Amino acid sequence: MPKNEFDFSKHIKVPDEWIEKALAIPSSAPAQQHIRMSRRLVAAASVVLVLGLSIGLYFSFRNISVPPAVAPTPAAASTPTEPTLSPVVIVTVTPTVSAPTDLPPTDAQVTFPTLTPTQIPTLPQPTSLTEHPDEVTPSLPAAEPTEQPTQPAVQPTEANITSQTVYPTDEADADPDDVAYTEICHPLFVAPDPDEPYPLSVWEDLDDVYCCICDSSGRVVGDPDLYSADHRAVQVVSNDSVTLNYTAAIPRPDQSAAIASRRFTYRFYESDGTIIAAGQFTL
Amino acid sequence: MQDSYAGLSYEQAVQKYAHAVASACLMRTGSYADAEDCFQNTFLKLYTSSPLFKDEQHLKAWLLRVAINECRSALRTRGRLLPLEAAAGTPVFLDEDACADSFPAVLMLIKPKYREALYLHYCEDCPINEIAAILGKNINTVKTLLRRGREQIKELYGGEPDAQE
Repeated sequence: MPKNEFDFSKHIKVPDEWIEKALAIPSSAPAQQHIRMSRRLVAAASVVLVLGLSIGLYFSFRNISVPPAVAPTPAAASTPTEPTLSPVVIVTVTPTVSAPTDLPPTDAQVTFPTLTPTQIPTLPQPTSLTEHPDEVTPSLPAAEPTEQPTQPAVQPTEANITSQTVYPTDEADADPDDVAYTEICHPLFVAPDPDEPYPLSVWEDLDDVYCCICDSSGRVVGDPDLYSADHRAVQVVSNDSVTLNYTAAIPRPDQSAAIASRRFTYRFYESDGTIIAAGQFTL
Repeated sequence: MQDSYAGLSYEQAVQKYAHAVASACLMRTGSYADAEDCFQNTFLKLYTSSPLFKDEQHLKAWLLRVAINECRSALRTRGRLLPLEAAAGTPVFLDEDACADSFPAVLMLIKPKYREALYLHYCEDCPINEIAAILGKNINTVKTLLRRGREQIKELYGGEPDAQE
């Protein structure tokens, strides 16, 4: 390919009015600057005023005597006014996974001890998968990556189940069997490519990452919009690995139902639909 | 407002770097409408923020960084809807001389994050450390972006490009 092919701007038609408008900015900017300065002055004056009032109130209240606290009556002390709090167990799952091209996901058994969730709002019932308007969506239930990765294979991880007891600050009136508070931690280990002269930072370039959980029938749990804030996952970067975290409240399935119907699949994907990792668990 | 941008007046800076900024905005957004907004915002920021530049290279890098950030913000605000221009085969903002398999046209077919790195490297002749500063990424990530971008270009072209490294 000849070198002049890289002269991108040669092939660009830039309208002259763009340049004329840009050149006209100085004539219109002074008014904007004046308004901006005025706003800054007003903001600064407000801050000073609030500070002054706060200091004045503080010193004035220092001179007011505070009555002693009323001692609780014996009857009140014996009667608990707050409901008994029950522990909630959050289980961290590190499933065994294979490379992104080896989908469908591996089978990782996740068992949860008895859970008593906190006040978690009832999830809207998804009616169907919402397709991404202009990008490829992860096809379900057998997912295919949108691009064949050329980066090194992802090292498989051993399933590691840990639990943590968390005492909530308040207890909801919700039925304790309604939802299961599920946290998914999916580590990505990238082996260095021997042909790559530079250290790889493959996963550091991940932009927004999302996660969706589907039930045994393939329906998305939670918001049907696969790219909404409800599906936003968190990336925790450390040294040479990235861990993808996602937490969701899943309507608890009927425990007497067949195990296959209590199986959920999850997928982590980028904003363009490229699937990064996947797995499954059973509630 | 300062009178000098790396030794150039504001008007001189606009005349000299308008094409580079416009190309970057069109490359990133794929549409005239979004690119124009980003173009104007870039030079508005140049005029209002008035940063100090060591030299013209520094000025150009600053303009490209602001332009690309403006484009990202505009696309984020607009959502993921593709403009009609970007959905067409060959982008309409390219000259008639640019055929469908020319580098600029092919560049528009690959992912934006690779496109940015390849554009800055091949079209603006930016060194890798400067690309990293413009895109706000570390050097290794830029090298990975360039490598993957070149692989995608190779696939689209079906062979080895005569690009200099």
